[in-house]
Amino acid sequence: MTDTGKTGYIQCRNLSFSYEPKPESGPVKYALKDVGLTFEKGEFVAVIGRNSSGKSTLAKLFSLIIEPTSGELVIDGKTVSSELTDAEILDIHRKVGMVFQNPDNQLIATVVEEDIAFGPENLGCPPDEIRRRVDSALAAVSLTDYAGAEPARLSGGQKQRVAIAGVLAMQPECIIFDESTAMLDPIGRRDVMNIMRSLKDKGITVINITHLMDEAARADRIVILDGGSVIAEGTPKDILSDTALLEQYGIIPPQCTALLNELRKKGFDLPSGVTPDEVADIIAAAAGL
Amino acid sequence: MSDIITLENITYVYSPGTPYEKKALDNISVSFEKGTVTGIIGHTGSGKSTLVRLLNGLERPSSGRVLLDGEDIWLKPKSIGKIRFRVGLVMQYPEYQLFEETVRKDIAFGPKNMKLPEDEIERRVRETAKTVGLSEEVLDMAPFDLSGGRKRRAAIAGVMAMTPEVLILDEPAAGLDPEGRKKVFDAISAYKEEHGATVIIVSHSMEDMAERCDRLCILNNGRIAAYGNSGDIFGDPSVLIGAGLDVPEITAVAYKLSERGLKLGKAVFTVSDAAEAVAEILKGRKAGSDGMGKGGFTL
Repeated sequence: MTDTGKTGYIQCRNLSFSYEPKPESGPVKYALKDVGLTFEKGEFVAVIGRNSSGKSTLAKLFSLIIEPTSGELVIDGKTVSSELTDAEILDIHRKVGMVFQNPDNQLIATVVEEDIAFGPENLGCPPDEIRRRVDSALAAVSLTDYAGAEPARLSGGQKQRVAIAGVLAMQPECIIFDESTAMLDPIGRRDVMNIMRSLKDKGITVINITHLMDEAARADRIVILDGGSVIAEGTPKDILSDTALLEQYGIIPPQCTALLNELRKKGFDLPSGVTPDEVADIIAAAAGL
Repeated sequence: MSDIITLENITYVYSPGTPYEKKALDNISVSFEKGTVTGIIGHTGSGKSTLVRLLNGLERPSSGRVLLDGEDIWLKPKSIGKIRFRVGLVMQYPEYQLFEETVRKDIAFGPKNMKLPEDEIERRVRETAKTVGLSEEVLDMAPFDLSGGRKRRAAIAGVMAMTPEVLILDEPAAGLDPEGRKKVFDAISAYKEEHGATVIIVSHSMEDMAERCDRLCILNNGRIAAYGNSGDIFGDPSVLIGAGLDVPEITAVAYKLSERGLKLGKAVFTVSDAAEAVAEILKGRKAGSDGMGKGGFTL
């Protein structure tokens, strides 16, 4: 399978993880149980599900913070196990970057550009290469004018963009956003969402773990986790229009989809849509305009 | 119809006399009516947090007065602490401030500081635990063993247990899953009903604000850009957009429908209102076209 064409950038087969694999009493509690998922290169996927559904555990596995208890995890062709050499681990760390919820936990330097240079410096890049990477990362998050600023004086949204630039400077192939917009204002959120989209356009695999359904609606594919298992996956249109599924797993759809779902309950036969523009088009068409 | 808390010509300057001097609030006047739920919205740096810190006396205004029930809260600066029992502030991510061994002790911390008798403290702990939807057994657990949503509600209960007349919450639902958000807002509504309290919520979530607030106060660059009933504010998205804010998705849909020549009968800012209004239009159109069909009348 690994050598035949489209194999997926990250693949999970029967992947399970327990924070306590050998409990003193009772059965093993799994944070993730028998998960089978494939993330293609350059795909933009939203992972949703209520608290303790296993979302963050998945992110920790992908970034090698924790190791699978059982099952298989393959990242860019390498099977994750305790057999990996230090060089291989370092390589995966470089390829799979993470942006956390609170940028204050991720920024370390007192000047923006130094913070972004931290990664490539540790990779042993020569100075001119570091300069090039820092400049291009700053441009990618529209913070070129803030290269010399103090992170502490930036807004939450700007700080989060610095954190993203720090990851970009490692030239990753996949970036996992773990509720990265939860602390941002609407403008900050919009900026970060636009950056996710542009990263995807550059061929980077983007995984957005989120509670915000309007964000999930903007991904190419949605994966729903519950109780450590994959409950459903599909396009935002399919997933967010499935009212029975959403109700069962405590997911409140974005207002756009909710409006169409309500209208369907009232007996109108309407197609699915997830953005205000799509929904307005659908309603206008139904009204014969 | 009386005002419980009023800001009168308030200006607040950070780090005055230094190169970092910044006017966070610029001659603001606003009153909050007893028993209402007011949402305060504004982009980062608009002055929201400064405003709520002024309301419960954590900051002292550079000029202007804060009136609680008509009385200047800074009249006796030494007893400003008592104001904080009457105006409770739940800060962002309040669960970071949980520190006691059990949830019970943590909720009791505020009432203890009020020097209430033991049995009254115990009564308030039980009462507020119920208000926020935490069961009796949770009370004896360590706060750190709770899920994120429960932790948040335990922290909010700690402020509610002081039974403030004005309850202020800064981003009370940030970072919670949809179920957790709902439980937090339900707890706030329950507290308001039980105590007839005035509630002020700071949030970035336009959807939550549209659903939960009677009034909205929009801040932009340290000034009030708009203050009024939620319906009026969301009825005119231009004010929100001008203040660098998003509109709720449903308002955006209504706006885009009007661009396509479909005017909804009234300003809508909740999904059920919008569904009603759209259904009306679709039914009307359908009846109209059926009528035309029967009459065989075509253009």
